[in-house]
Amino acid sequence: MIDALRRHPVVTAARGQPPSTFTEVSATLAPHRWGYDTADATLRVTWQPLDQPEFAFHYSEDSFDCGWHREPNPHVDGDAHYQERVGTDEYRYEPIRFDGETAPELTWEVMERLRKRLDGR
Amino acid sequence: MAVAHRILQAHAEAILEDILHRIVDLDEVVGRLALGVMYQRVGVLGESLNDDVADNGRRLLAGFGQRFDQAVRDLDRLSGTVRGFDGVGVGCNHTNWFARSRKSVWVPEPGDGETDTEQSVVSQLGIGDQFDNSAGRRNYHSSVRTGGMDESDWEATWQEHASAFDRVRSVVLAVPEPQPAEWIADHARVAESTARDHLDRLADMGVVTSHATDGGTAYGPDPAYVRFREIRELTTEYDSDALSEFVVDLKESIAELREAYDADTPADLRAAAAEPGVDAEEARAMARAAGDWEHYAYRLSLLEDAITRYDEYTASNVPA
Repeated sequence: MIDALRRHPVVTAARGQPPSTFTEVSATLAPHRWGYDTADATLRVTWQPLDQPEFAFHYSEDSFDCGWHREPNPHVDGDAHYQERVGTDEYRYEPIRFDGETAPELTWEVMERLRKRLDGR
Repeated sequence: MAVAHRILQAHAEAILEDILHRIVDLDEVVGRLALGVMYQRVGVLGESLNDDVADNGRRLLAGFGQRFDQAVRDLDRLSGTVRGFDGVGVGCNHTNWFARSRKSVWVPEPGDGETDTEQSVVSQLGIGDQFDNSAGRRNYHSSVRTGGMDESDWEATWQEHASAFDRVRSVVLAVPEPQPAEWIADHARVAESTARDHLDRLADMGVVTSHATDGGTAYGPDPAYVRFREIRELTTEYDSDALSEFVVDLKESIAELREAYDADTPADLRAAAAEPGVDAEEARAMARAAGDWEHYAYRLSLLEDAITRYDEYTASNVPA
């Protein structure tokens, strides 16, 4: 996961957080490389290695955040979903289907989904 | 090796993997055409880059044997019947062709009669689904794989930025259970023979361990390698005082779980989750907590190792 993120051209740094328990990976992004201008863009990734792994890739910038998650939730049928909100509005949810299966596949898949989402903003 | 050189080499290898992986998915004519064109490309790249790429390409292509011979025959046939075919082959932009779309052919700026040539090629190949005239190039695209372009975009980006070797390495390091080469090839988007080569190399390097199973050889991360990589990251990023503070944090996190679930070990917690009378949601929460616990215990063991041997791991000299 952390390796796949570090290799991505829009990721400038990725490290385990908090440094003691290392329960998530926090990455700093440079979306201007996609032609999208924003400051302080970050991606947080959590991964639970269950039989069917549960995970969340969550992007944040000033006044906007969105994420691709696969985890139990009361908002959509099934675990896989996309969510986003502007500022502190309520999240909007929609069910999705992931194409990749392993952590590196999912990392590249989500980064591409993010690129497209930011492209539409 | 210069950076540009490495990038080009990785790119050339990635293109080869792509063809080898897809030739069976693509319709036969285009698959063989791609292979033939790529063989030319490898020859060119081989001269201007280094012999390894060319040798690797020839070796991989040789694995196709009969298939490649057929590709050459088809190329000869097409060359004889389609005027300007060589122009397509030589001018083929491999980035456009392989990285951005499933298959596309661009023909250099048309001169007299070129349009006819383009049409002949496209009609012979049956790939005229989409026409895109941009940046002075004519691209003929065709979505061959089911799922369309959207699904494949991330794969193309991945293949563009990570070599076949890197993709195999990242997939095999991510598997929770050892997997056969075929499975790893599928998830790394490389040919099975390529995956085997890279997995053997990774095993030689101590990155991967092979396991004999009923279904053949399976590959997974080498636990000692993974462990040491984590320790090295800790000793590179933090001094030993910081590492000692992390130990305190981790021990607290473990104590909290022990108390919350009244269990002595993660295994006890898993056993409790499987007891009759535990509802599904609760069992899932307990399994998650057991996973966290194992993760904390693992991180704790890494920290203890990093602290104990901090000076050795950060020394500038190593004994001969």
